Amino acid sequence: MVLYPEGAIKLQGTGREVLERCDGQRTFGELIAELQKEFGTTDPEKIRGDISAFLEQLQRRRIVDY
Amino acid sequence: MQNYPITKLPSPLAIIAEVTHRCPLHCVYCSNPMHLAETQSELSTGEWTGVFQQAGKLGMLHAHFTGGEPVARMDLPELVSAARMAGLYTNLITSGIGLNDHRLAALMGAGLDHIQISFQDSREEAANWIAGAKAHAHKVELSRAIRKYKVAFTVNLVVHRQNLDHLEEMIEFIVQLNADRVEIAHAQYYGWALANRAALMPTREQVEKGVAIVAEAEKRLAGRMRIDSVIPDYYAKYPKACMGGWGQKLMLVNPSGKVLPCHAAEVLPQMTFENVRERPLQWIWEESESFQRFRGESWMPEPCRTCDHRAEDFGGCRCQAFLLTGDASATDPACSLAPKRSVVESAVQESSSGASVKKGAGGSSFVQLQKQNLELWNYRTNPE
Repeated sequence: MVLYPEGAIKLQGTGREVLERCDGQRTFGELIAELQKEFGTTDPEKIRGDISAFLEQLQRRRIVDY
Repeated sequence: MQNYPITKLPSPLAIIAEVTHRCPLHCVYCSNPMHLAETQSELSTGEWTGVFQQAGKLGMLHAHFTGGEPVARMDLPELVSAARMAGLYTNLITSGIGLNDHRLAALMGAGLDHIQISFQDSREEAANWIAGAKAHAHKVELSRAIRKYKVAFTVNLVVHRQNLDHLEEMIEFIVQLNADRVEIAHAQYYGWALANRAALMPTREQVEKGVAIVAEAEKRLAGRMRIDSVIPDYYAKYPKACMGGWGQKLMLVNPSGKVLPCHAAEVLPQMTFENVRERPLQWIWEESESFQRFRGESWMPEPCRTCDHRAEDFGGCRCQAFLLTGDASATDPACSLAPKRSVVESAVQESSSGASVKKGAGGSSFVQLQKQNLELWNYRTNPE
């Protein structure tokens, strides 16, 4: 569960995998590389596209910065 | 009256903790009731701690500290810490008056998650005129201090007839304050704002221009500052889904422990509200008559009862229905389908035909401001 001003999101599965890696240390590139490795059977470009769309959504809500 | 089936009742999401009604500001659109809770009746530190523990157990997620001015409670850091310990995300809604570096540090140390500062205007003189207090310069200074901490920072800006004409300037001012988020909120007409409605209600032209300015800013500032705004309900087609539905999402505990489904509910006649000093929060949420009174759909009149929008707006606001029609069970007259819609329409017409935006009369003290603006509005006063 991510709590933020006036809201909350329950994250499961991949969303959670992504957000758990947003630790202020890893770069966007490192995060993508890790997940591409983890989900090796999926097209790496699709992983990059999906994650960047997901993070952009969270950034618009001011939940993450990168 | 048919009871809402308890098995389907979700947990409330948030507690609104009105920790005091005392306030150093006198804003003319204050949402507090005109009859304020007395200082000596306020809940103690221990009583509030118990309330937050119960809220956490009930499954609530957020605790919103508000007032009055919550900072006027000297034990505020302890209260924030108690809410935090109960697993709640803590949000402080404040004017900032009474917060210095030392007290700000204490609140951050207590684990405050989010701070929300209200601004009355971008222009100092106008802001102080609305607030009835010299508050603006301190708020600017405090905003800078806040950015030294890792805390979510929202600016709340109430817009109305007197300031909408320079909305762009106000948005730019908030961008400069480096806020993560801004709430652009039209004044809502309850309590003090209803008494002062003639001086606060924007014209249709002001509202339409404002909507366009906000839409443009949202696009331009995406990813940098989030903007949350709503169209004022007098100008909307359907009413607002007040509090996400009566007894659906929120519980408000007032300074003396009374538990209300919303900020204004105390105006409703023939209603008794329970007190945390006498009943557990869970019982109040699940079983009290007050929380069941307008929960669900069985209380609804026509046209709400058969309306396609009833699950979205719940027939609008019960307090507004009562304040404008005298009947708390009526369709909110802000709805274009309401039988009593004419009440809202005539207020809208008056605002558009009435005198243009008035120039405020300044003053060096609150008493002077009160005197100089007597014909324009009443400033909010303080509890006994």
